[in-house]
Amino acid sequence: MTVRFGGLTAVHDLDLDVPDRGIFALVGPNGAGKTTLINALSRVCRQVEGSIRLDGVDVLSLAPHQAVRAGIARSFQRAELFPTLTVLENLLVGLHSAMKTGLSGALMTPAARAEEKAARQRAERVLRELDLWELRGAAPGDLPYGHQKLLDVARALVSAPKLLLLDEPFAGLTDAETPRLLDCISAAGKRCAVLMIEHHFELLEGVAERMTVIDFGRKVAEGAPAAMRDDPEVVRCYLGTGRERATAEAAC
Amino acid sequence: MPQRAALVLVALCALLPLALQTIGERQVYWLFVVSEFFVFAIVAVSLDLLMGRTGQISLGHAGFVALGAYSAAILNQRFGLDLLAGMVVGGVLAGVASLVLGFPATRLRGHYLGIVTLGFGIAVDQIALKWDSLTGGDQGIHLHRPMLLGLDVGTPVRMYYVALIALVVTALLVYCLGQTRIGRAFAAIKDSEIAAAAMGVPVARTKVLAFICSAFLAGAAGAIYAFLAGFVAPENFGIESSLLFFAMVVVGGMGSIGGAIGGAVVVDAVKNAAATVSGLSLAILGGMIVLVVLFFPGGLKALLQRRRRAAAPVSGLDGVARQDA
Repeated sequence: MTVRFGGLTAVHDLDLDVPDRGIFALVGPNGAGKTTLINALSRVCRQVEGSIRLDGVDVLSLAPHQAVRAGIARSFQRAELFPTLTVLENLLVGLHSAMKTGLSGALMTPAARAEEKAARQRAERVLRELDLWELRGAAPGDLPYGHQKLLDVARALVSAPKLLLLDEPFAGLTDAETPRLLDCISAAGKRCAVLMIEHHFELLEGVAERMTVIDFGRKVAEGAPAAMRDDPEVVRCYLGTGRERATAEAAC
Repeated sequence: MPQRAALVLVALCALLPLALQTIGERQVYWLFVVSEFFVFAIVAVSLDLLMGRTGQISLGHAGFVALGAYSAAILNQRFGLDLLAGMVVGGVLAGVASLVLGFPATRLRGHYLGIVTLGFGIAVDQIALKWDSLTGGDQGIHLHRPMLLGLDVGTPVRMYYVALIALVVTALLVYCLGQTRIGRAFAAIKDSEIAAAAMGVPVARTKVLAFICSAFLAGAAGAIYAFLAGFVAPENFGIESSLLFFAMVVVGGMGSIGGAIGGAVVVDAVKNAAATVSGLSLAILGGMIVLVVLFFPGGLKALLQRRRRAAAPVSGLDGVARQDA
């Protein structure tokens, strides 16, 4: 696929194949087109040429809101939560497509109440998995940033997608929060395909089966994370040479 | 706690007619003033559903009230339609109008809906004024005695209870809607359209739905107003009235039913108090909107919440306690 914004080509003739289970990482320097790729896959970005297919469904024919029903859920780089709703309600919005109740819900009909109850149980399970259950009634804005990121992932997970897109889920997490999310993503990888943008090679080596390195919108390398570390192209565009790395580390 | 406070307030309102009996003749006037307030509060709650909950602006809500009031009045005068049928017809017509206006406007981001509704609000009372054959022009329309399901509700006290019950039902419906899939989708759109769409909310369609719900309630309120006043005329539904409803929601703090009703109390009281000097009430209202936006952007809602928080100084987790209570 190719994504162009006016004269700028953000994603250039990129070919990506993701099996239906497992964790796949997308890495590359800033501006490489990683987030644009996720936006294209989740239909947030509409200027896509080429084709995207999920289980035989033509993703490009879907409206943005239909992506979830087709099985594509996502998180955001800066946790785009709904601040006027509670933590639990944020997750329930994630189930919007899975629910049917219309305006009749305001009349509290038995069918509407049953559906609401089932949705709350589903959301409860995900919140407990991420240790967020205690905070279900809180406003997302009152949570520490790391918890907001966890909630963003939880909101994407709750719809039980086929393809879970995570945009830097670990950025901003504390050391205590990281393993929690890692476990959760590993578990999700057994149920569905997880495509995530992540910069930490150490994190990826433990969980990701495959890694795609992109730069200037093009695929530079692809393979197991361990092998990528020494790939000359990856080192050139992303990790930097040994000397540059040493300087960078010294600067930190 | 807020539920208990609401119950007490409703009970007090239900007892008010008894208390007013002690003031003799003047009770008719006061019953009308409070009943009229109930109707305005319904419109404020409906507008808050659109502005506070969904983040869409309407500057011409009096247009929907007018549509409801005129359709109920015309059908009552010509075919003897009763109050409940008038509310349904008035609400549905207002809803249809909002669909026509909202469908193109809500597809665009930003405040296009505000501009479109402003034009609508300006046009409606002029149409009512000029279309004599249907609306009676500046003479207006007199209604027959209001009937509700075969029951004569044509006394001030009975109309008072009709308006009170309508307000309570509206508040309950809007509250319950907020706890459902659709109500959450409204809030999600206000908070982040991109995230809402990514969660499967059809943004444009849901905005139109919020607009229709809001217009329906405003139209139904218009029908009640027509029967309450026994008379409709264009001057009740001008752009001034739209600004009045707008001010109620802003003063209320947006996004809370209690705030909208509180805002209606404040704004209606100012309007009535300043009614003797022409032009003064609008000047005060304009000043009030400016002051609220500058110094209390959260309006009455935020003031109430601050007091509640101060009363119960728990950590950042007080939301948990609230949910469990």
